[in-house]
Amino acid sequence: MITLLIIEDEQSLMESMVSYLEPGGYRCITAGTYHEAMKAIDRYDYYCVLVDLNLPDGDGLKIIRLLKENQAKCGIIVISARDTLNDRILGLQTGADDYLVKPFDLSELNARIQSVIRRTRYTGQNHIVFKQLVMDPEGKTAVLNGEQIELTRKEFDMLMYLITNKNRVITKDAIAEHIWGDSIYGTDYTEMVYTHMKNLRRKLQAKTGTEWIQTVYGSGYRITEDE
Amino acid sequence: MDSDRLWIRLSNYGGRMKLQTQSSIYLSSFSLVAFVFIGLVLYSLLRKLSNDELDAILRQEQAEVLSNPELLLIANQAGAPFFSRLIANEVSKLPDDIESFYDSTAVIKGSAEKSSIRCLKFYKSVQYQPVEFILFKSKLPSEELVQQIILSITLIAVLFLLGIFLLNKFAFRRIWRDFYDTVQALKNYGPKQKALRLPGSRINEFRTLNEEIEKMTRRVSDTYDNLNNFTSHTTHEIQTPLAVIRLKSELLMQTSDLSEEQLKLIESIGDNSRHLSQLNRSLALLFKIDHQHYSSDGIFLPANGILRQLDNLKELIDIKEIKLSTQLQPGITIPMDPSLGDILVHNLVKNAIVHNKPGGTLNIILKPGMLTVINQGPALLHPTEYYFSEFIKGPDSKGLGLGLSLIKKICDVSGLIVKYTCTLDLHQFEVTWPEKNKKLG
Repeated sequence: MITLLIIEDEQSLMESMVSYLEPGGYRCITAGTYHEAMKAIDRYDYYCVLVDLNLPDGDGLKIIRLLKENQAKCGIIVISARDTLNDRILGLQTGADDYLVKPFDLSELNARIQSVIRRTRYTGQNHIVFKQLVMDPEGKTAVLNGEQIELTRKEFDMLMYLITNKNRVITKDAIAEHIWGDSIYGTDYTEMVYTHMKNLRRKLQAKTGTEWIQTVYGSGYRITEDE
Repeated sequence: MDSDRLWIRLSNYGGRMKLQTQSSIYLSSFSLVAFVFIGLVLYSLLRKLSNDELDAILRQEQAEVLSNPELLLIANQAGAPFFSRLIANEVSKLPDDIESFYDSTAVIKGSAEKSSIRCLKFYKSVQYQPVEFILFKSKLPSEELVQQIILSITLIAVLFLLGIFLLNKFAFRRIWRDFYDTVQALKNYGPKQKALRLPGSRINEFRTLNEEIEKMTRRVSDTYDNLNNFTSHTTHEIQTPLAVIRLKSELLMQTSDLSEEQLKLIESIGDNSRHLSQLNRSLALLFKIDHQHYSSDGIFLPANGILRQLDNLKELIDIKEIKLSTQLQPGITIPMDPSLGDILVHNLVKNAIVHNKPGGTLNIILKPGMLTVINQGPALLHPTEYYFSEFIKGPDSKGLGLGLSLIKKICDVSGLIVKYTCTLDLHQFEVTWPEKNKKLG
């Protein structure tokens, strides 16, 4: 089982993360303080550690350094409210693999965790298999029953995002922010998401014959494993 | 206020003069007038005194002459007493006014030039013949005295003025030194600095001034710190509950058996928390731009940022069927902080796309010293300047209404000039910056 360590002093945030991640097949160990985090690091080897930099009794950056020394294969994601370029650079230079600014979507956090684990744990080819679909995150190719589906880069990312968060409702806002980033804000992105989703569905349906992606009452999308 | 006026007078711009020059002019012009006045009064006083004295002598001599009738007979003859100072002329009859003093001039014996004299004219019948006698005395000795006195006064005046000038030049600097130190300290003072620490002064007024300035800058600095702390804490602290709301609404959305109505409510909560955190972030950025120092040493390559944003919003351009044309001269740089530059061009491009009309045009021209973004869009209801204020947005805008104020603020702190003009449905943003001469630079 993939074990994660979540270091976050805000109880409510931590609970939400655990609630979202555990049904996805992770075991989550939590630490609310720097000292709890230190103890937790001694006890297990982790696939990925989520670190809040602002802890009441210590510096999150120290934890990153310690992890880099002791658990080389562990992925590290900083979750912080600080969003300046300098903060990001500092976090990444210290050894973090990714930097996520609060507030974020849980689906985005999940996608980042999976991406970090893929990068740090598996070498060479690591494909994601969903039903009959094989997706290669590096080559950005999707093969269904041995047949390649021609997807644009953004359609591929969108499908990856849905599959990473399978069985969950993903809002169009979360999709838009995942695909286009922060700068999408203030634009009328609903239509952009809708257009891309329409094309993606059309291409998938041409190959599978069935509708994989469900629309959830017009508010979001979901891809489910069980038919 | 008064200090403002003083400040203006102190700075030597636009024909305004220094405090020192001003006070020298006042002091020396007043002393000049005073000395001229004193000189005139003294001169007339001395003249009157010397005339009175001469008159007394003349009257004494007159009495001597009158008491000695023979003298009257031989008045005009050489060798007579008072000869050359007494003139006798026969007249037909005695006038009513029988004696008078007056000033005149005459050639005095032993002198080639005429000199001023004091005369006493009187009449007397000598052997039944009325005779006019003029007894006179040279004013030369007393005039010389007056002249010497006036000369000394002038000399004193000149020395006095010189003294004032020197005093002003050297003592002024000493007396006002504390004041000028204060002025200099104030000139260097910025809102980001801690309260000013000014030295005490021997002069009461300056000491009070320094104390008051210290108090004032302490207040400024406290207010600045408070505002800074408040804003950074607020923006930081708000993020956590916002994050909780967002995560909880996302979790809520995952629960089964939700009605369409419930899902829509949850999505609305999520939407609004997203909106709020964007707002919070943008306000924090605006605040930071206002309060943080950004060096203009940085070099920003606008073309990269423009192309990146155009690529990022490609789908939006396609959906709105915007006709895009770009003329980006390669190698153009703007002397500004690169991270601010990125925000600037991102907002300019996004603004031109978001507010474009369907099927409208978008032209981006990058030349040395100038970036122009022209897009089609609805006509404006207000003057263009109005849209640079915070929270101003068009009727159907989905943004925060902070984009243009960010553009303006970034241009202001980076020494760039942004002009927004709108003619019919063409909106033009023109950003200009001083082009450094590469050969010289």
